[in-house]
This record gives sequence, structure tokens and C-alpha cells, in this order.
Amino acid sequence: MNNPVINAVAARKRLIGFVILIIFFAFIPAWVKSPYYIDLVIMVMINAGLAMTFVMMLRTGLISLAVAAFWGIGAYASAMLAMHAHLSFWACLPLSVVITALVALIAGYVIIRSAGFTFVIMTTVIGMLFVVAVGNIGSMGGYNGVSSIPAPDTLNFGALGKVVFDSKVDFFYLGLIIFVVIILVINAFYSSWAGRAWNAIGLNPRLAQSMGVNVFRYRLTSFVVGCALAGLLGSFYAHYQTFIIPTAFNLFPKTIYIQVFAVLGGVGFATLGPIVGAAALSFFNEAFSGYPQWAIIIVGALVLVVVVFLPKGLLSLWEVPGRIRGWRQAQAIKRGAEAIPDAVEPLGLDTEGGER
Amino acid sequence: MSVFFQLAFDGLTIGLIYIILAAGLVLVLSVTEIFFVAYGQFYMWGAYIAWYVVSRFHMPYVVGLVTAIVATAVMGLASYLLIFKRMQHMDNRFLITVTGALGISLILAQAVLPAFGTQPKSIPNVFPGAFDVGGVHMEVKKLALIGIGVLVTLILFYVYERTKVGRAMRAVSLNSEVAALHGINPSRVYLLTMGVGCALAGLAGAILAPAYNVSSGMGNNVIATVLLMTMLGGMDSLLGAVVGGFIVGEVLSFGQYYVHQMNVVYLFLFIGLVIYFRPNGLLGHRTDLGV
Repeated sequence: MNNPVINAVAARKRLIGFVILIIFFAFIPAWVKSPYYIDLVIMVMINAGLAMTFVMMLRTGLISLAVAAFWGIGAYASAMLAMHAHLSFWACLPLSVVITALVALIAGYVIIRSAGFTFVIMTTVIGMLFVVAVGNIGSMGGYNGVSSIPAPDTLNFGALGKVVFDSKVDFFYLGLIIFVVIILVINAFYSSWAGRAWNAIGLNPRLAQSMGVNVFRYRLTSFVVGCALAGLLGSFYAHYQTFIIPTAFNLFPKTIYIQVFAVLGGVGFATLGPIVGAAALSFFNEAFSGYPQWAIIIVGALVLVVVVFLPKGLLSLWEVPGRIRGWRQAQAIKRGAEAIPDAVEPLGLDTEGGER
Repeated sequence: MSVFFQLAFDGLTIGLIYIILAAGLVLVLSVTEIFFVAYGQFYMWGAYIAWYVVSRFHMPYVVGLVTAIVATAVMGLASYLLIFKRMQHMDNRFLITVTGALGISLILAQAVLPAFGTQPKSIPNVFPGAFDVGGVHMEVKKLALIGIGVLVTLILFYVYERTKVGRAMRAVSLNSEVAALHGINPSRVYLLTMGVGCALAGLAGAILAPAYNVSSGMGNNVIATVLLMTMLGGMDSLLGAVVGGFIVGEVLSFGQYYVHQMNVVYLFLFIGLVIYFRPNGLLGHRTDLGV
């Protein structure tokens, strides 16, 4: 890992893979015409982005069950700014990120001191408090939610033409840009000084602290950045859906689903894992949509199968042939050892002793 | 004054359901250390099974109650044997077990629809009648709920504090390896605890069925509140579960009357403050869960 040449090669491989992935995504509207499936892909991107922020906080040992709540804070901030302050979407988007980051900074400053399971509980409380609080504030729409949130304004590039947000495909490309930005931001953090500090904290917080890493500050950084990115996705979601209800941002099942996306893909794979997890679960859901009563049951069973037999996630599937080969070799050696005991005698040891 | 007692009575009724649920969840959380988000679905299944046995086969209510307890216990045992037993020693245990529990939750929440239909249900005429005591309207079905609830809680306390099985549970929850050194088989205790915990959820559902409506969403509605209540009382304390359940039941009942919907907001804020200043909960000793 410390060899700079190998690191550079690995980084270039990752970059090429990333570019291929983006090009693949960018061409999806070319062969998928149905708005239904475009919508599905947009939701997969949003879910994958949220799961990425979850994995990012997990890096520092913070299991946040308030991802959906901060997503909702971003969505509500953007919707409120657009509805009451009559701001354009292009102003709401950065402002909602700032608002979410501020809320995360205050909340994180209070709750991150107590890491571990207490943090999980505190984020659970935040996640549930958000829904009931918003649901009871009449000026924010209550449980009926906010509807008819305006779509993004037309972008005028002068000679290059205009971008009008009137179809799902336009939103798809906007979502793709946001998705790419999120991937880039997260990976930039991972390869920076902060990312290495996060890794150290995730491996062993006390050891990291003794090495001079300010555990609290780096945990707070990862929490704030993760929540701000969730807020960015929330702003996009609000203007894409044009209506939001508080129960969409609930702890059960939304945050748990986000966590399942991350675990299904594999929490060891920071970028690809959430994409694979979110895509796989949507795919399962779609594949069995012909049997609406049984679809969710089958999906639940598949989640169980994956989590029991592939606890490192779907992406660890590529390790399976190697593992089987290794097992077979071990078996062969064992069998050979039984047939001809001397064949596995280590060289250079006492072979005249007789008794073994 | 009669309003006060009426509210206290209603709060006690719903509080006892919460107490039994929280007691079962305390056992599951502290002994097996599984963040069991599927727990609410066992509660729903208990209520549905009791309803089914009583209304379809016209059995006496007691048969429905026992069937619900046995069936949910078997479901809990099966989920432990098939799924959680394999996860006991994995890395990232917390995340893996929550994912597994969500899979179970999805299956159980959805399976109720083809099995029993989508309409809300209720068991009529099991405990008919009502009477007034000093202006407090008491329905017999709610009194029966309170009676069964108190009885079950007392039995649970006796088993947990006084018998060998309960001592084994407490030992495993303290430290499973040391318990194994002293001749306790931890996996058997885990299995037993899952059975008892899920049976308690089924029991809570079954005693709720005559007094309130049974619907397919009740599992999802209750699980978050029960989890928080368990944290409020302390994750490894049965007494904490009782205190937490009682507080939540009364706060919800009084709050509903005085501040309407905002009561839930105040309740969650209060729980958040308590956990912030006392991370172990009011009466607990320990907060990690393999995180």
C-alpha cells in the first residue's frame, strides 16, 4: 500500500472505472425511454448517495441513524426557501446544504462526544424527533407535507442553448451531476489528510488519539460533511418530486433501508458498494413486481440470504471462486497427506526419527 | 379530578402494553445483543393470531392467547436459529444483525396481508361490560388487560431475579465468555431469550387485541417508541423497562389530552435529554451493543 507506483496504478484504475461508470449512467436515457424506469434510476442514485454518506460516517465509527432526517432537513429547507422566500432552485440548493451543515454542526457538537452506542441512540432520537416535529408544525405543512414545490428555473447558456426542466430526462442529468459531485467530494476526502485520519479512527480510536489525531474534530468533520451531502440530495429530491411529506424521512423504514443498501453492497466498498446495494434492491423489487403481494417477502428473503452468506456484501462475490479454489486445494493437500504421508513432510527436518 | 384519574387509567392500560413490550426487548437487547428492529412485527403477529383463533375457530380467548404466545415464540426461535446464530461472531455485528432483522421485519410485515387481509380487525365481546368508579369509566376489557399485564410482569420479574434460568440470562448478558466458563451454554441462553422475548411481544399483541383495533401497521408504529423507551429505562434493566413504559404510557395519555399531537415531540425531547445526561438510561448499567 505504501508503494507510490502501485498506489498511482490503483488510482488510475479507479479513475478509469469511475469514468466508465459515469458514461454508462449518462447513456441510460438513450436506451431507456420509459419515464417510470428513469424515475427508478434517479431514486437509485439518491439512495446510493445517501448510503455513501452513511458509509462515510461509518468510516470513523459513527453509525448514524439520522441520515434520512438530515436528508429531510435539506429537503424542507430547500422547499421552505422556494415557497416562502421565492428563491430560485439554484439558490436553494447551496443554501439548503449550508443550513443542513449548520444543523449537523450543532447537533454533532452535542452528540459526538459520546461515541459508540449512545451516538446510535441519539441519532435515533434525532431521526424520530424530526418527523414528529415537522409533522406538528402547521406552517411547514404538518403531516400533509408541502406540495407544488417549483421545478428548477430554466438555465440559459446564451449561444449554447437552454436547459428547461420539464421532463424526467432533464432531472436525470441534473441528478447525475449531483451524484458525480458527491462521489468526487467523498473520494477527495478519502484520499486527503482527513480521510486517512478517519481510517485511523475507524480502526482504533484510542490508538489514533495517542498518535495525535483529534478524534472529536475529525468525527465532527465526517458527520457534518456526510449530513451536508445528504442535505444536497434532499434539496434535489424536493424539487424533483415537487411534494414532500415528513413520514418519507422516517427512521423506519427509510434510514434502515439506507443502511441496508450500504450493507448489501458491502461497507468495505465506499463508492461502488452503495451503488450496487441500492441498484440490487430496486432490481429485486422490480423483478418481482408481477406478484405485488409476494414481492416484498421475496426481497426480505433475499436480503437475509445475502447477509447470512455474504456478510461482506454483494461485491465480495468475486472473492468466492478464489475461496472455493483455496478450499479445494486445502482438501486436495489433506487427501494427498492421508494417501502418502511422506509427501507433505517438510524438507530439511528430521526424517529419520520414525515416530511422528 | 375524575378527568385526572380517567387519564391515569388510560395511560396505565397503554403503558402496560408498552411495559411488556419493553421488557421483552430488554431481554433481547441485553442478552443476545441484537438491535432487533423486527420486534414490532412479532407484536402485530401476536395480535393477528389471537384474533384469528378467536374469531375464526370460535375458541375461548385464553386459547387464542396461548396460541399467540407459542406461535411468536416459535417464530423467534426460528429466526435466531436460521439467521442470528450465524451472525454472533461476525465483524460489523451491529450492522449485519440490523440488516438481518430488517429482512425478517419486511417478511413478517408483508406476510400478514395475504394471510389475514388488509382490513383492521378487533375481537368483539370477549370481556363485555363497563362500570364507573368515582367518575372513572372502566371497561372490563381494559381491566382484564391490566390484570394480565401485571401478572405477566410479576412472573417475569420472579423468573429473571429468582430462578436459575434468570440468573443464567443475567450472567450471559454481563459477560458470555465468563458465563460459559461457569458451565452456562450461551447459545442455549440466547435461544431461550429470543423465544421468551418474542413470546412477550406476541403476548402484548394478544392482550391488546380485545381492547383496541388490530391493524397491519401497528408493528411499525410501535417499534421506534419501544426502542426509545428501552433506552430511557436502561437497556439491561427490567425495572427500567417498567419505569420507561409507565412514563411513556402516562405521558402519551396526559399529553394527548392537554397538548394534543405535540406530546410526542415533548416525549422524544425528554428522552433525548435523559439519554444525553445519563447514557445508560435511568436504571441501566451499560450501553454498548457490539458497536
